[in-house]
Amino acid sequence: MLLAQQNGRPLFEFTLSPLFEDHGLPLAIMGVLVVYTALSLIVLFITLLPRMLGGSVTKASKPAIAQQVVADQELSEEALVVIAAAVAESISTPHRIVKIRGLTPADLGWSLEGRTQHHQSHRLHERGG
Amino acid sequence: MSVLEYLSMKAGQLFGTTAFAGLEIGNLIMIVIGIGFIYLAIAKEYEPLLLVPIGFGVIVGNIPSVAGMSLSVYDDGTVLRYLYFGVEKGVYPPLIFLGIGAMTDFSTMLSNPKLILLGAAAQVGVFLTYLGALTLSFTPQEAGAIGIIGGADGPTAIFLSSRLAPELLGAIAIAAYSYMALVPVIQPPIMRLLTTRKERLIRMKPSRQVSRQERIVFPIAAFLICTMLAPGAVVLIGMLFFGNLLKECMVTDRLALTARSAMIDSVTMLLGFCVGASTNAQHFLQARSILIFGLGAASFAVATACGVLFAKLMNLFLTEKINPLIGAAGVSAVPDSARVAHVIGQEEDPTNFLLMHAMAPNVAGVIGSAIAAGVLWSQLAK
Repeated sequence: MLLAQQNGRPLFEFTLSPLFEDHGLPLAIMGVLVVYTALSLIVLFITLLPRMLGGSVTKASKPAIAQQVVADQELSEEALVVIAAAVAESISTPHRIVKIRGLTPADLGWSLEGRTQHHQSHRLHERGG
Repeated sequence: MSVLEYLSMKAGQLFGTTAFAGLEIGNLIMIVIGIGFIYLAIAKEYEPLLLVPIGFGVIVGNIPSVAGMSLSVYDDGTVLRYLYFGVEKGVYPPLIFLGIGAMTDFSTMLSNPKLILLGAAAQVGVFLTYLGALTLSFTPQEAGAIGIIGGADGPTAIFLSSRLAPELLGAIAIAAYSYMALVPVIQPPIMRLLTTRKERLIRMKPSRQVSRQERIVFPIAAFLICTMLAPGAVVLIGMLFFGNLLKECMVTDRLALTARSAMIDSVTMLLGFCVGASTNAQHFLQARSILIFGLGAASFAVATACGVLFAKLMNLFLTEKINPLIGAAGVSAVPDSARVAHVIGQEEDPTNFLLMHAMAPNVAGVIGSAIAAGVLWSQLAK
């Protein structure tokens, strides 16, 4: 079926006959099979890899910590992500953030006490003028 | 000869030595397209690292040559010709793959291996488009080079077309990179069309941590598996996994750093610029190029659809369901298609983070498209 013309020659013709040659459907089916086979073998290999490397890999890789997160009402998820990213950026070795929380009045007691002692450590004298 | 005639003759001679003399409407169209690419890159931030070099290359490639002065990538002995050698002989794409390997973190894929199959599903689009191009009377070599556009992998498309159909290289490269840049435009409608809201809301379990040993063993083993089955992929896959091994072994940090920064940047500049410069209107502005663009778009759309549909098929058999949006990331436009899957997922549920899950089929797609290219090359090489 002639669809367009260019310089008197057909730009392209629609024909089904190439599909049934060696480089048609058989090649396409083989190509899909090779891609699936290669990636399926990789899936199989990756699934078996932790066992091949020893049980410790699987044991150590359980995301137990991630499930112990307790939400802090005052800290948004975004703030937690930013803090975690900042820590990851500054510490290149494997690490674990145990706790992130906002300061409460009870936490401020130590700094308040320190500030009070500091102010009481010296007496202010009125200078005679 | 009067002074006026003399001046007129000299002006004519001068005009003959300028590029204006050889300028055709086709060159002007291409220059506008080049400027359009640069605009998209700067104003819309569509793949600026690719579109700026390509866009400027298009402008350079469409400055007409003057008689007696060889300038273009198609003229022997020119500087551009020497730079274009890396494209024509398929030197640049493997070097890009080396850098990609040194950048890629396969952890998400290793932590959830079943998602790799989505990367294979998207490659079905490559072979369907190959068949489509055959029915439109392209030769098998040309059809293979056109089909690989659906892999959404610019370096792979350039590598394969330089091997199978060098005469179509410019059109295929521009089509491949254009569609990579247009991932956020092309994929979302297909993804929405093929999924229900309920499916788009599916949450997936967090990935497990992957040990260092796994990450080191993987590139070596995966290279052996892939190249034993498809030896044609040895160059691309070899460089990809070599780069990844440099990154993961952690004793070659300097090499990995160079591969993923200075080297890949240099090669990207040269590749983009040379591909752009090869789009001279006389070679590029042909009806066949438009046909290739059409087939490329079809290939890309079919690949996206195949990934999504295969994820839905997998859900029929899985207890832990996959969000089918991440199937679209099976095309290897890294990381854009993964980002698109994430964004579409967040439109339905802003607290659903699909990005890391989508990276698994995305990097699997890189491997899948390289294998598909290897199969086509080994079967169709003249």
